[in-house]
Amino acid sequence: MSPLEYSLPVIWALIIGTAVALYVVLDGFDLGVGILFPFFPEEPRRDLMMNSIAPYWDGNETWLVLGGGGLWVAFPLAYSVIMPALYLPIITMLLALIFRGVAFEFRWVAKPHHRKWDIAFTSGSIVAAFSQGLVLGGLLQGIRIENNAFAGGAFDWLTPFSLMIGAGLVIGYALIGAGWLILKTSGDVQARARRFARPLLLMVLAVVAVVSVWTPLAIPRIGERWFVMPNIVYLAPVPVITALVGWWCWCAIGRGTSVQPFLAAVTLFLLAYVGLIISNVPYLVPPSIDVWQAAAAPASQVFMLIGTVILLPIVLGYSAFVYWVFRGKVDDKAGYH
Amino acid sequence: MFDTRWYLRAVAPLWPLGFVAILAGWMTTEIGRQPWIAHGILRTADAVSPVPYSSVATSLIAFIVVYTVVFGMGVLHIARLLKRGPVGATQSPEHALPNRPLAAAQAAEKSPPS
Repeated sequence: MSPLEYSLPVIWALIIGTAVALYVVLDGFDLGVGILFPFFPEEPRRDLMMNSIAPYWDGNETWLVLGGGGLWVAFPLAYSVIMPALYLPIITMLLALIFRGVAFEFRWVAKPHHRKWDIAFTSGSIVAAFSQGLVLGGLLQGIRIENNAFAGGAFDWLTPFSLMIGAGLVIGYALIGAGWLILKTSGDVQARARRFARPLLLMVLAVVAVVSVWTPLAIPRIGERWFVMPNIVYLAPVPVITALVGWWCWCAIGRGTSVQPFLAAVTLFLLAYVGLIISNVPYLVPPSIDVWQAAAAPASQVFMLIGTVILLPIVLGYSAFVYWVFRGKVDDKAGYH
Repeated sequence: MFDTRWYLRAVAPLWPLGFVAILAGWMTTEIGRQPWIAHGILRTADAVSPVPYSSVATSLIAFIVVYTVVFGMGVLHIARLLKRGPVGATQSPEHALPNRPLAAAQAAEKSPPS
């Protein structure tokens, strides 16, 4: 394997990994606000919540496009296995995102008959988050492959494990969403978000703990990764830091500044993500296809990399600019829809 | 043209034509390139994923249902917005940059040609 053939897939894995992390954190908070809608039944509160995410949500979802599109061009083999294997949850997620997306626009136009779009917004957010959890769970537990193609059934992904990951992701997004509301709102909405955040945090930590115990026991490959010398020494900080961040999040929800609960929740998510990467590196489709096996021809990867290197900083730049323009708390009067 | 009653009456219901044109163009490309999915390289029949027919059928029906609902509601909302007409007085921006179309338009408005 030439240095180029070795490094290109690694670079692409880093780009796609970053896109997925950005997606989970960014769309996570706006999906989370949708998941929390039922706990804020009053119309002005809901208007405020929707306004707090209206300028960002569609920009946040572009990272899903980069993750999926990147996987397609850089790792076509992985794409051709993952998509058929997880076809139903992925299609369900897309349909849910459609409902949620149009709810942003239709809800304002439909007023005062907007109740059905409140329901579309909430159910779309919950179903999209749950489906993403099913996708993640289905990927982690392993996909049946023969001759480099998916060889399983339409419902292989449906297991107690993937259902738990689905529920965990819904709760996790709700936690980041609550953090976002603490960050971007004041008064009653903020106070209520603080009240909901702690039970959500406890549930998220419980799911993280269960996954951390379940996966090494159920999948020997992951157990060996974490519990063999010297890995156990090098990797011990990950659970320790996760526990400390959980404690930080708990304290910040109670008496921290507006920004701290959100930062702590996001850090918690990123640590869980790092844990999953440690468990599964270098596989794209665990446990059979690694990044080098799945890679497209070096010429394709270089060609796409040139475009990405030019466009990615621009996308990051204007995304940061949008967050800067709409910084600070949202008030009751302004609307950006 | 702006106040001929019969003409405006004829033009008013034509707003969906733009959407029809976009969809027609899309269908022309997608149907016209068959049986190739990548012309001269890969046939559609050879590009099929290992997904059972029942899954594909289910998702196709789900997409049709969702699009019917979303498009239906969209058409309804657009029609309602059009019926309501522009809300509030039309405003012109106060300070247009010099040498831009907007500045020229404002100057023309202030001094109508005699």
